[in-house]
This record gives sequence, structure tokens and C-alpha cells, in this order.
Amino acid sequence: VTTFIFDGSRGRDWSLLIPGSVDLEWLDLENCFDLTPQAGDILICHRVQNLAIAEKIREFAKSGNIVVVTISGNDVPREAPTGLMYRRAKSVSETSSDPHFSACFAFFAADFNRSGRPNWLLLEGSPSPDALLAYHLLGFLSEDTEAQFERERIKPRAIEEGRAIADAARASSTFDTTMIEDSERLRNFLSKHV
Amino acid sequence: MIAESDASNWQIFRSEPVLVRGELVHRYLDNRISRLSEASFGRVFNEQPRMAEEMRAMLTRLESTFIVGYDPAPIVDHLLSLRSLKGDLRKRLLDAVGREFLVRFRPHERLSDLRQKGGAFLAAFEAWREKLELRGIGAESAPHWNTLRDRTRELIDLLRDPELRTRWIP
Repeated sequence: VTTFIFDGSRGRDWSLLIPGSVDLEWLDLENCFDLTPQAGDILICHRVQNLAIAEKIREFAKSGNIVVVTISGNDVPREAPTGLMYRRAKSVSETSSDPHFSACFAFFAADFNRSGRPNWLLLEGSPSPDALLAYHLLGFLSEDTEAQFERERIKPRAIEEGRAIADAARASSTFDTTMIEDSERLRNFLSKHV
Repeated sequence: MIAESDASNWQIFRSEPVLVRGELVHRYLDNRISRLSEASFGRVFNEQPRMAEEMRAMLTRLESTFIVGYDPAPIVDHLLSLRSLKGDLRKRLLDAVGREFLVRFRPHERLSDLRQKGGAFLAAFEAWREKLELRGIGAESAPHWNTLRDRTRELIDLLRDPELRTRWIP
């Protein structure tokens, strides 16, 4: 069993989460196109922002391998949900490529519903892509009081919907599709399955 | 309701020019013209002579759907979280998103660039095909093949812009 970690920053603190007996292979996300996974391999993808890569990851999951998708960055501090949402939305508006987070997440979440047998793990409480995008777009009306009121109203809903997506995914899976909200639970999960 | 929303969001992001762009690059420009030798591509082309018409049709579809297909306005209309917005606020948001689209995505300039590079690619393809049909592959076709590869690379570079991978998100 090899654990492939796809991460632009080459994993870094992910290594702390992986049991020592596991072979690790560090790859940039772009290299996932060359990957031929073996049964039982584990793929951890961090900050998937490219839809072509998202499609490749879906293929990987369909082959029966464990796929761990981290939607939120591990640089996001574990704050209260509202704080987390705020940080994520802030990064969306500051980084041009970041909105694609949302598109990729929408893709994964839609796949939960279609395939019925996803091997996904969602890490950390991710807000729903719908609400995240709405929050982001309303930010273009920063001087508009009514728009900012709507924006604040969306925050808690975003978190609630994110949880609902993860719950639906978990319910429809025959495998462990789990929303893991902290690194300890991820470590336990990997210890059990590797 | 959540999953339905996410599935339809996915369709909103994957608009027609997004899909056509991906198919054109993957099926023809990259995997065939860029990667095969002239001789190998010549054999493939002889077996599939409709390829030229298919590429031309794809470019036409791409151009005709480009601005509407990348316009982010449908995202505003589609998101469940924005459905309850009142008419005035919705209009202000659509105006703001439309401004971002014009200023930052520059749809008309991009479309003009696409037309120019797509036209140059098709012209280079026709020039190479003409030599192929008259003389076969050889010294006369080689410079046209090189030109075709150059025009293909320029078109790929344009179409592989990360901002064209989904409907544009401001």
C-alpha cells in the first residue's frame, strides 16, 4: 500500500498524520495524470483547484482506492465555523484561482449523489459550495448594506449545508465516507485502514 | 436538496464552451497534432478525413458560445443561497458581477484572440492538407507541418488558460 500525497506544498505537515509503516510518495497534483494506482493505495489531495484534476481523482476513487480530499486548506486555523467560513471566503476573494475550490467541491459532492459508492473523505468542516460562492459574490457589493446583511445571513447556512453534504455522502457510501474535522481522527482512520 | 443543488451547480460551471474547449484540445490539438509525427498524423488523417471538418465545427461552436458560456451571471441566478434576494439587490449584484466580467475576464478581447488564433490554425491545417493531398508527406509538406504545429501550440496556450476551465467565477 502506498499513500500518494498530492499537494503543491509537498505535504509538509501531512507527514505527521500518516502512520510510520506507510510508504509515502510525494507528488505534485499535476502529476496525478501519470498515476496508475494499485488496489488499496490511498490518495490524499489537498486543495484541489483544477477541474481536470478533480476528474482524475474521481477515476481514482472509482477504482476502489481510498481518496481523501481536503477541501479547506490545512493552513486554515481550527476556529469556530463562522471564523473558518470567514477565512475561506477571504482567501477566495484574494486569490484568483481559489474560487475553483468551490467548483471542484461541487463536482465531488455531485458525484456522491450519482455514484452511490464513493470512497471519499472530506476533511475539516467545509462550507457548501453554493453558499461559499454566494458569500463571495455578494462581497463585490462591499458598500451595499443590504448585500452585507445577506452575506452575514449566509455564513451559518454555509456551514450547515456543508455538514449536510458530508452527512449525505456518508449515508450513501458503502465505505468510509467520513467528514473528518481534525487531524487526530484522520490519523485514527488511516491507522485502521492501512 | 443539497445534492441536487451541487449537481446542477456542476452543470452551470461546465458550460458549452468549457466542454468544447476541453474536447478540442484533448482529442485533436494535443493528443494528435502536437504529439504525433507528421507521418503518423498523416496516416490518422487519411483514416479519419472528417477530422478537419470536426475541428472547424468545434471552433465555430466555441466562438459562438464563448461570451454567454463564460458569463458568470447564471451563477447568480442559480445559487440557492441567492434565490431569496429581492429584485433590486439581485439586479445590483448582477450588475457588479457583469462589470467584473467585462473588466477582468475581458470577454470580447479574448474572443477576438480566439478567432485570430483559431483562424490561423485552420489556415495552417488547410495549407498542410493541400500539400499532403498533392504530393504526400515529404520535403514540400514539412515546412507546412512545422507551421501547423506552431499555430496549434499557440491555440493550445490560449485554450489552456486556467480561467477557461469553468464558467468564469469572479
